[in-house]
Amino acid sequence: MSTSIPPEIFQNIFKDLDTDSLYSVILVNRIWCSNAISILWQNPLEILYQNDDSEYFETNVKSIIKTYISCLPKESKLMLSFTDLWFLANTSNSKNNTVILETGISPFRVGASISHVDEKLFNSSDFLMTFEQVLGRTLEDSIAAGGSEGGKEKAIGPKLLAILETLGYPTPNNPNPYRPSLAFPQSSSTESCSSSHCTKAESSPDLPDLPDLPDSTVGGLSSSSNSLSMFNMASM
Amino acid sequence: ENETITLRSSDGIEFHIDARIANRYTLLNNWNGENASLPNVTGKVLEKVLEWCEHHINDPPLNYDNDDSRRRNFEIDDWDENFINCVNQDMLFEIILAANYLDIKPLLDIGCKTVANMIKSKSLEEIRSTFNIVNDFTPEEEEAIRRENEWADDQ
Repeated sequence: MSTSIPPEIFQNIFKDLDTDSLYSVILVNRIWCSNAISILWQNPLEILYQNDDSEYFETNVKSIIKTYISCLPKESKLMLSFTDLWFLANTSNSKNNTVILETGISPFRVGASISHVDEKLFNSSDFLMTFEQVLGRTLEDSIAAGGSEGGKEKAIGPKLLAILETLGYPTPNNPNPYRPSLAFPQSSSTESCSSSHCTKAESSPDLPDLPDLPDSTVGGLSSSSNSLSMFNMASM
Repeated sequence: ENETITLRSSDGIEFHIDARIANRYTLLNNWNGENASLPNVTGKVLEKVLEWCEHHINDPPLNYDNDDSRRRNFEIDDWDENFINCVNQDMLFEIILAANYLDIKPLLDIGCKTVANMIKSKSLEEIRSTFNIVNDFTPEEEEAIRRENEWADDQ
């Protein structure tokens, strides 16, 4: 094939090919690939839906999603790689200084998951809030394993201190930490009650009387303090 | 007696054709006249294109407003199949290019469909040898394409 073919003709040739043929076409050479790949990817899931085998479907859906993710920009991929919950102290703006919470226990264990820090910190100066205890290992051993020296006050590592400060606890380094205000201006909360929530409840008596706190609490906390950053991405 | 117009190919060969052909495919009208010639179409190719046009001179006018319906109702009839199978591959692509250039959509579709049929149910190596194409992927690129499009393998 010596003549050079304009893209619109390639598209015309490839547009009605079956998936199997298109798979061969994209492997022919670069020009064929660049002209056929968009046709192959027009609606890949529709092609999978035509098959009833659920195992087949699952395998191929995973393959499709993997490819979609590989095409995402770097930042988005980074976000997806966080399968953990992590805590960003308000003393730091860098994502490198986040504290990963205990999200490795599967299934979720009440009292251990999330309320502790990741077990990778077990041999660091922030060992204290890992969920595991090793029999015979003393507090001094753990402090030494974390690379710190000194008294028992060293049991609370810098990351744990930062978390405490962020939560509003005074520490020797930071006796007056910023305390996020959870109180809402009286006017706005009464306003929202009289205007939207209460009238809604009256007009539709079937609906249970839900307190309207949760939404505004979260919004108030993040907007006023801007300190608590948590990401929860389902693992892919 | 029908009116005729004169077309001149890029290599200077003149063709006197029924004016109704030029009226069906409006772009042909642009090259009617003593000194005008089609810059991209050689006499050999233009001859084949006009042969097709002449055979289809009495076809009902087609509605091209809807591209999808044009594709869906599309079948190559015996005459067209014979016409297109009698040319070699180089000429096939020349005809496609000329039909594209001259905006003769039915002929363009026949040509593209013929090429598509040459691709169907062939292995990768068979496609490359049929169209005399050299693989210009690096092994890493080829591996990446296979991996990224794994779902389409063996459908």
